[in-house]
Amino acid sequence: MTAGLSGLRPWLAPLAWSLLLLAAVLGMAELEALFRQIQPGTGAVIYQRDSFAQLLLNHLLIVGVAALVSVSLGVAAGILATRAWGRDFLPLVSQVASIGQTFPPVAVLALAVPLLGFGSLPTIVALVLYGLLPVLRNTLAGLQGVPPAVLEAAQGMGMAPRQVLFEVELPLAAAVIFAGIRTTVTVTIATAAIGSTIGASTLGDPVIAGLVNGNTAYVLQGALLIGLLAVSVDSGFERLQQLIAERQGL
Amino acid sequence: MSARPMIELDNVSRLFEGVAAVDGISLRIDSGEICVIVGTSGCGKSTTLRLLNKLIDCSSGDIRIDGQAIAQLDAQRLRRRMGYAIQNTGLFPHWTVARNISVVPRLLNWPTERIEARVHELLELLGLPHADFAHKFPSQLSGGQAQRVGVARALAGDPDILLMDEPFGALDPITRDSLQNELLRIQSRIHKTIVFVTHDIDEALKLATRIVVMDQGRIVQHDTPVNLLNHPANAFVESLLGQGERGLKRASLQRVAERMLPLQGTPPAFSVAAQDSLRQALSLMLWHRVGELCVRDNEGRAVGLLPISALLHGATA
Ligand SMILES: Nc1ncnc2c1ncn2[C@@H]1O[C@H](COP(=O)(O)OP(=O)(O)O)[C@@H](O)[C@H]1O
Ligand SMILES: [Mg+2]
Repeated sequence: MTAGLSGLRPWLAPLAWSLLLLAAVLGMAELEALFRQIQPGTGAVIYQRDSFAQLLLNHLLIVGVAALVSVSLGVAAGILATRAWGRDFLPLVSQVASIGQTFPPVAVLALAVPLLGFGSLPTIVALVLYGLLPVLRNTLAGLQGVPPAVLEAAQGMGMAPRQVLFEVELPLAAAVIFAGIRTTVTVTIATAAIGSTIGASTLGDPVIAGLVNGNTAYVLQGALLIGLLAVSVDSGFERLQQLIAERQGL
Repeated sequence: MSARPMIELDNVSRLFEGVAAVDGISLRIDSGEICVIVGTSGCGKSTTLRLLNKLIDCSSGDIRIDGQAIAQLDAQRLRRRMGYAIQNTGLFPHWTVARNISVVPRLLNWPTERIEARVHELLELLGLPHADFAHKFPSQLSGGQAQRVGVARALAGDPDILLMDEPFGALDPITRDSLQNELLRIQSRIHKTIVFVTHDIDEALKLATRIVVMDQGRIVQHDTPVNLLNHPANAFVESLLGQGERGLKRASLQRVAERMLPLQGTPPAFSVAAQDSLRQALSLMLWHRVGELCVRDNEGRAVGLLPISALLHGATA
């Protein structure tokens, strides 16, 4: 019993944030009196066009798909560019990785609409492009940070290139790559809200609706949920990062 | 010891961007030898070693290992037959000592029990008790311990050939000296063919059965330590040996037992061990300001006399 509890303790922060998020999603209506203070008058003060649970689900779905694609692409591109036969691409790939970060996500969205129209798809495409960069940059940094002597030893022992990659390079780069994944996911959660401007259904909906109608309560409700979601997921990732570090005996 | 060539290089060159790092070298290394390649930094020592296990391919020339041309051999299989130890150890930081040592046996698909027994045996051979070290991570080891693990890992697959690239280069002098002695002790038991790279001429003189002196990608001289001291091929080898120190270097290669005379009358007050070097004997004479020493064996019995004149005669071996 005690062992079970102490094993749970490191998960306390992510668990607490998630419960808070859940409570906010399900119990937002209970705060009507509070939001009435912020938004006096006779109009509605709780966003109702969709349930918050539905918006959260849609948001998570978009983020999940986008993050999955950008993490896969970013890690794969990072691996390819650091292979002996892929070295020619390395300067190009690392340049793309650093330039892309300075590109505002709204601009990516604006560019995606004329090509892909409105809705979830252009949002996902924009999120993939934007989320690619942190994970790609960290994959490159992680793999390039493996000590040359370790690589030489791995090869000199007679490991196959595939074994060197999966047994030596990726485990040693895991912590850095994972930090990149964490940034990608967090950025994607926050940025996904902008998808509401081009017709995707996300937790950004109340924010946009509130801005358009001058309803500050809506804006706050959307922002609160997006914030709680980002913090919940981020603290979950922080815990996973600790686990990776522990497993490596560092 | 059989004089079968284990490693043969035939007019081997390797160019990097048109510049020769290794320039037409030919070399025979016999089975059971410790061949030490010595030379200044950048002269092509490491490149020569990496040509042997195909980490680098030859630009021209042939290399044969145990009679087989390595150009025809699969690189990964070849490497699993050759131990490889390098400076800074290259230990895998995310694996325990035991896992590090078992890399090659795993690649060779040994059964688990055999791997475990081998790890145990090697840790004991290198003076690292299994119970204390098997489960440590490299970051928990001292430099000397890490390099011992590096040597154990190189020996793990029971290879015929051991390639060592400045393995003790980053260690403090005392640790380096003790690891050199360990290597000699282990080699007297396992009789591998060892190719050892160093920039330290004293390390070369101490370990080598034969020394290869390299300069700018070429072999300048290939000879036993004593012949190298007595007959340096050119000014470069002379300067490498350090002109003023040559006498002392040669004295450190010869044992007191080779020069001692029969004991007559009362033994002198100060003693030297029979297996000590002439250099140590000379140092004792200078320190105690005496002209002769009593020679004692392992049990401390007086077995001979070493007058200073014995150091001077028959000096050219
Ligand atoms: N992979 C490489 N690419 C280009 N030049 C190299 C490479 N490896 C070695 N060299 C060059 O070859 C020469 C010999 O290097 P090396 O064999 O490492 O010397 P040593 O081990 O004797 O210090 C040096 O001039 C070095 O710069
Ligand atoms: Mg070198």
